[in-house]
Amino acid sequence: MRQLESIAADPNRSQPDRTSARRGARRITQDLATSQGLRFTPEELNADANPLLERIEGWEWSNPKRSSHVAQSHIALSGVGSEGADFPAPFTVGAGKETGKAFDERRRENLALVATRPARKAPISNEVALAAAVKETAHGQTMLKAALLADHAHDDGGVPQVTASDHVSLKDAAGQYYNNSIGVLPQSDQPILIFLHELGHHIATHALGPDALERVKLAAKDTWTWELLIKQGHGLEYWTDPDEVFCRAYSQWVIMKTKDTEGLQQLQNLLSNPDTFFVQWPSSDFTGVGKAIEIELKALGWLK
Amino acid sequence: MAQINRMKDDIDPKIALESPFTREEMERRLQQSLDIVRRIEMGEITREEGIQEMVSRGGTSQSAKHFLLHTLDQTKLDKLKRDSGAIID
Repeated sequence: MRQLESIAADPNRSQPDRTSARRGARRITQDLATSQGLRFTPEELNADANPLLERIEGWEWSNPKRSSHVAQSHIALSGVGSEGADFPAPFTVGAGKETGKAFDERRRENLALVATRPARKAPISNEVALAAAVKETAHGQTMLKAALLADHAHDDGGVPQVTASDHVSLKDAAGQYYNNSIGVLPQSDQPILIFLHELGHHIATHALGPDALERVKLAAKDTWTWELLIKQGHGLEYWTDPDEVFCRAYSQWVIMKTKDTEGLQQLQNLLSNPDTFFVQWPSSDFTGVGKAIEIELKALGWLK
Repeated sequence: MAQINRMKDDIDPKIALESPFTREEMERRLQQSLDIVRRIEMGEITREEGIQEMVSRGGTSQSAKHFLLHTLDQTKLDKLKRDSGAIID
């Protein structure tokens, strides 16, 4: 399956080969899911999007019909100047809930981010494809903004394309990452952070090994936020998982490096919420974790 | 050393993200949240009542549901990740 995924991600392969490999990899995943008691229709098996997350019994899923028709629409930002020739024509559907910003305003902000982006060999936003359902919405532009912030923070060595949509399969979840797809709940209080968190999963999956994740976790262990978590004993394992630690650290690092006001506000909101104050790090506690992220990105050649 | 200093400069030290809670408050609040999880698991309160209690302590419905998802249901989520690679956050 990894070989198929590798072919699917290889830009030097022909498009039919990549498509075939991607479908093959998904079929294997679906076979695994079927072995767990999940069932799929022939239409679902042939669909581009994976229906796995819609079919687990006993949980309440959100918007269960959405992911079966996630049509991809890649917005190419490479080389786009401030005039934004490659952007879609302005629409006003879908206000951004998190700040009330509408599509046009978000699009203008994104154009400015493109215009001011440092020279990059391979900006990671080039690999972010907005699903058709969000392409002309403020939420789509919000996710695109997060990808552009990542461009500002670091280069990319060629991760596979990832689809970004508003589809989150489980009703109490805010985001998900699955099979090169990112989903961010439009009603989320922290859409930029969550997108970057899920992008972190994509980077961890395709560019970093387990050792790198452990090194970041090691740095996180040297914080008092970590002490707070482990002092409670059992029950908080999700927040000490190396994958999750890396993604939280990566998302915070991008925001702090770019100094994006909106992202910083989302971080601050998490730190101020009695249910989430332990999820991210106060700046005074983040220095070592931020350094660990930079060391890993430098090792990848994504940061000078 | 030069490399470390250069990295230090990358993140603006003037960015001040701070928690309004003291260490003691954090520990107490986290224990309270975990106690709600325990009471739901023991059947003493329903999940919805747990969410309401967390909201009444100053959280949001979204943050409360998210906390309970990753405590009460984390075993299921771990299995889903192991079996399929799907990550729910």
